[in-house]
Amino acid sequence: MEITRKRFNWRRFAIAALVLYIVFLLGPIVGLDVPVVYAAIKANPLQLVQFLIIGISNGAIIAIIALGYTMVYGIIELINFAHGDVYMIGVFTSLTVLSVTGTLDSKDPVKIVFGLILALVVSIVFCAFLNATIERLAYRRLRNAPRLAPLISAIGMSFIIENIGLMWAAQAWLVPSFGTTGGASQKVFPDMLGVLFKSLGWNINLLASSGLALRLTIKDLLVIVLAVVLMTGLYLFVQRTKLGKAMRATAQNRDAAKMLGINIDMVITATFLIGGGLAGAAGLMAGLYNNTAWWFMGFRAGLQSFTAAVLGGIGNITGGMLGGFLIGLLASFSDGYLNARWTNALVFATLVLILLFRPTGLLGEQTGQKA
Amino acid sequence: MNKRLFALLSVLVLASLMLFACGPAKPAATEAPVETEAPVVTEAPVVTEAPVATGTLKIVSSLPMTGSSLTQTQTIVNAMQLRLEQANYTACGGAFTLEYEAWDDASAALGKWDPAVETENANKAAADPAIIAYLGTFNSGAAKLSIPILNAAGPLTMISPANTNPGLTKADKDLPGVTDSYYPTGVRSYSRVVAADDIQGKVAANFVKSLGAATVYILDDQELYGKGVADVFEATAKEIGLTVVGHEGIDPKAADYKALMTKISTSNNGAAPDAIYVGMVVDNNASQLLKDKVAIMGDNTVVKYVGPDGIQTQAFIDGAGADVAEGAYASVAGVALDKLPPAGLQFVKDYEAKFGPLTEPYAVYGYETMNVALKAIEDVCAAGGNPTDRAAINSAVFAIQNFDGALGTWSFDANGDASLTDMTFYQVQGGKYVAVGTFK
Amino acid sequence: MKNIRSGITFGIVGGLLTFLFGGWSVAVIGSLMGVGLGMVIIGKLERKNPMQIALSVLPTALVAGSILVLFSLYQNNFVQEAIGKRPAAVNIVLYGNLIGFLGAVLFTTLLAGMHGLPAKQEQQWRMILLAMLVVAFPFIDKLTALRWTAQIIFALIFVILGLGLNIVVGYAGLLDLGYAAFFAIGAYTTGMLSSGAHNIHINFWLVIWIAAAMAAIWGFMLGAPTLPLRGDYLAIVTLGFGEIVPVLFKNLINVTIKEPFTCWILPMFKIQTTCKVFVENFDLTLGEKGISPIGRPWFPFFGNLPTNVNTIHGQWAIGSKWLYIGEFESSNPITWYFLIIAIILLSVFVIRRLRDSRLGRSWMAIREDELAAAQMGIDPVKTKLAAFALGATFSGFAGAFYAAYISGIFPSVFDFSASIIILCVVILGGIGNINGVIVGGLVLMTADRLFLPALKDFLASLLTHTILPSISDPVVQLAVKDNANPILYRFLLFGLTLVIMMAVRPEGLIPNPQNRAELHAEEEAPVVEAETPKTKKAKKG
Repeated sequence: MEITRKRFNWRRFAIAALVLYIVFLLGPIVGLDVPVVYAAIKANPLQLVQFLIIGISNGAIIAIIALGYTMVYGIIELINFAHGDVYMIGVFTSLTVLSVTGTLDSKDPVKIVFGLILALVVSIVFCAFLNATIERLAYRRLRNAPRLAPLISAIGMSFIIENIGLMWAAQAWLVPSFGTTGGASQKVFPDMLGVLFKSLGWNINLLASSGLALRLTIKDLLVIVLAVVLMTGLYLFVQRTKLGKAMRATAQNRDAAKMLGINIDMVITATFLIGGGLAGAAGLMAGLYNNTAWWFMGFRAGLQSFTAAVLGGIGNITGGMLGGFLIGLLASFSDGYLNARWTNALVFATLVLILLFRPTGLLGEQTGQKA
Repeated sequence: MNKRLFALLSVLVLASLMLFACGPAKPAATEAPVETEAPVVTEAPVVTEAPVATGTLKIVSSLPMTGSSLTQTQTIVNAMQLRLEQANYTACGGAFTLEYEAWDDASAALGKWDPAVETENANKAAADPAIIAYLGTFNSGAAKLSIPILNAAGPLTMISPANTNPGLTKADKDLPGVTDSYYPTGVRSYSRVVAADDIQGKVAANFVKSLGAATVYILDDQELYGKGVADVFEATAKEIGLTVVGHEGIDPKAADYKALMTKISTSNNGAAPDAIYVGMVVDNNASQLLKDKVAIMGDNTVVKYVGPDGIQTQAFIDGAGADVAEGAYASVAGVALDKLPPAGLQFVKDYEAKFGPLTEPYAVYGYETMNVALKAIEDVCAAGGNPTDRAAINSAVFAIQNFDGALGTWSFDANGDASLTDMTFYQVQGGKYVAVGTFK
Repeated sequence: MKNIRSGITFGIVGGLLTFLFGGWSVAVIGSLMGVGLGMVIIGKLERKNPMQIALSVLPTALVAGSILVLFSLYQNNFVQEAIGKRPAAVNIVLYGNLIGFLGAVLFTTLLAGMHGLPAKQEQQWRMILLAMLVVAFPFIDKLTALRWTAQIIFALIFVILGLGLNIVVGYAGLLDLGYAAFFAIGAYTTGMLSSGAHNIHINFWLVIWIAAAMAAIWGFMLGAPTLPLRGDYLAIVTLGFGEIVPVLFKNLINVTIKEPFTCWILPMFKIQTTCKVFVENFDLTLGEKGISPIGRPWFPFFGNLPTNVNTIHGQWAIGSKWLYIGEFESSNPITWYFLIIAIILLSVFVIRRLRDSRLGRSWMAIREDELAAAQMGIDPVKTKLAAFALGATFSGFAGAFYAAYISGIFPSVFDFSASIIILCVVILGGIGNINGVIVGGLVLMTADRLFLPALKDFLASLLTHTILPSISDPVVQLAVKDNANPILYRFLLFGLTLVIMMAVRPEGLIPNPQNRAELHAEEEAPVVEAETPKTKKAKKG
């Protein structure tokens, strides 16, 4: 086989140029009017950094949810549609734990810290089991059915969980702050971290003393750090442990893995447990960061996280993380410099463009497409 | 054998279908389900005078009773029933029995008003000759569909307690001819007892100026109502010398608006504007918007946060949290509940005695629409007309002048707009909306 | 004996339905119940002499009818009072129950009796009977003042949508999660081309084809880049598309298009140009304001051509009074009903021909095994594209009809949940089966738009008049009242439908025999009558 230098692909270049031209031509519709955006950046360059911070913090939450998608897809090639809604349940679980333990009304820093840790643990455990239960009930028996069947089942599961969230949000006896306005409206997730830092006497903005007009709050930092820790832990788990090895083997070839004595059911259940646990952690983080609990929040988060997973290369943990951060940044810059009402459409347009030009994602392996 | 059997059976089927067609002489409208626990008037008190036309007059309301508007619409329906109970479900000195049905124009599929359901409601009302007034709708978009249908049916008069879109009654300069096309017969048949958005937006701009603000950023939820108010606000603000720093639509389902708020925080030549006006309803993420605004720009004493009546509901405060919402303003058409005229105060007292504390501002409008409907019926009777005549009722509604109602003394103009231009501003104080002043 | 049990079940279900609707409903429910019962029990009957069969099911029919009437009478005498309504008038009770009873007995025995005929004849007679019912339905509905026609029209819109999606999901095996987007495109094409929005008023009969073509073009444009992707990616891209399209219609209210070279690229290099602006702040879709009113169909063939088409939506009379059916006004659903029935008949005809054509067989080959199909000389991308574009076409029809029927369109109608409902219609009815989709659409949509709201009202008034007054604690009272609302559990019901159907009966209520055989491969293949093109294919070789 002769090794040749890769020739410059004129066809690809022409298509890319055409797409770019169309983007700039139609850009003003979504607020992408280059001179205007350029003037905005020039007027306040520091704000770029601010959008970066916001984008990365939001991206961290998306990334953690995306990890759950990417793991499940890597192993059984199923888009676990209900995953975003498991995350929503995570928000409600942690809020309920905080309410039941009386943390919400507390001003005592020790109690708040313990309450938050308890909420994190309960949320992770509950969501992990929820996710595994979903797998057991809705997906396992469809493992050998035509590919459409489990996907449709997953959509059904997503609807069921959304409805559970809707009913949960109406239970004011459980969480008094839900009020009497019914389950459909948004509920507040109290700013426990703000209360905590106030009671400790810290300034929530870490850059307050620097004199720069920038905000890097402890919340931002916490979300980012937690996301990086979780991702590193997961990466090490998959690469170093025996179970992780079994997961990778199952992902590569289920039948061969079975022949080698790997308990497939156990591996898949473990995958769902881990994915659900991550969603539970993301639930608490998002609740603390955005201060909202809403039955519908899982749908949007799920779509964005899935986009992130595809962007990074589905099945790839680092890729999912990268994709999450990129989606967060895209949304933040679109809100900041373009037009906020188009942000969501832009995220999906990105998904379509990525699939067009690089279907395997940024870090995906160049494997042949399975039909 | 087989063929003959089937011929026979087919004849039987046809016969049964014929039975359907011919059997009942007038099946429609004979069974009238009574929705409310109305005291079924057994025997109307016998009127000894000349034989007056007697019968049943039916009034229906069409409001979204499924989904998140229910907290508001339920109080409207309660108020309407209260007014009927006060009239003892009779009109014209007992000559007519009144019936009332509360229809739902929302569907579960959308969780809010559904074009298909509203159309069907209007058609159902048009087809039932006993119905002489149609009270609704809650959403202006829904009114656009039902006005033409009801206009062609009599016209059946339609009185809304909540529609605020100006284009329903007044010509829209952007869409010439569209307002007239809602009224195919050329006769106006739609009226409302609530001030339109052009008044709300205008008063709000003056209010923001009176708060001492010089610069304002406008956000809206892209909907008919929210964008309508925001556009009027923007136009008025420019007129009265406020600087509009920006006007932007938001995505009502986004998880957060921190980046947007960061942009706004430096939009006024590097500083935050003095006030933010949000034209939106609570369902479109109004609480999240406020939360992120407070997180980036501090509490509502620094950068004022003002909205229309779409956020004047407890759900907004519940969603944002009492401490975050503290200090936010919202305007509602009309005067504060405790500043109502005597008739209005009496209504609040009666309402609270029957249904418990009244917090939603729209209840009194529901009461007033029923008031108008009953007044029109009585006027027709007093003039010797027949209140089952829809056209007569409609003209009686439009003839109402200097009406002494629960909202004060007011008149309808030729377009069907009530001469009510009061706006009351409420501020969140301690987790509740408290009235702070009434403006014109 | 088994038949009697079905009879009892049907009688009880029908009887409980009369609880919800009351009055005249018993007559219609009885007749429909008879048809349903007949259809169900013939599966268990042997082919015998028609008269014998008819006689053998007579006890079942009588039992079902009697139970229905008993329930209905109980409803009128006791339940009406319990929910605070007046009992119906005597003549309604008498005729309603009589017709209900007769309808139940007649249709059951008739359908069973037909089973005694040779298969082909039976099919014909059944079609004749169904056609009679379909034609008679709106008139009966009008006479009985039930007002179900409007809801049925809505269900039929979803039947068309289901039929279109069935081409994509059922035949070609591509999961499309954003199908409502094409519905929206059809509706908006109609809205923009025949309303005051841009002052363009094109006749509905023309616009409906434009709308279908527009939907097909968008199907093609979306499909062309994404169809080479594998199935799951396609699902997610279509989902994204379904999310974007309503946002587009909502947001395209100040469209500005500028030529980038003249406006900023060349000035960047200090070359002076005049900025070419194509459109500035153009309100294309009117956003959430929605487009209304929209022109309605009218017939130019009868009567005089109106001078001003846009003010006279559609007046048509066929000369003499007795032939006068009505005009296309939203207050008269009968004309709309027949219009949509005509569209459905056309769609079913076209889809059947498509399914049996070379293209249809390629779809199924692709669905079964893309690799093998490609080896046999089928171009997978072209075939899939055809499925996508043709599937979208039918939603264009549905969209045009919807826009004209409602006479107003708003972007929020076409969101993700609409796509999911259409998918549910296809799955519930039977993936890949035309009859199944029709039944699925009717069952699901009547359940959603007729049954659930009626149940909600029934429960609410029942509780108000029985349990609620006895609860003293207002908090508990409110909680009971709020939670006894079946509409709250609607998503739960949809979700359960999907999950349970997938787990228990993935082939749907009325399965495509080929699918069923495939999904239950380990069980013994059921003997089914040939409806599949598979057998034809085998014959043609």
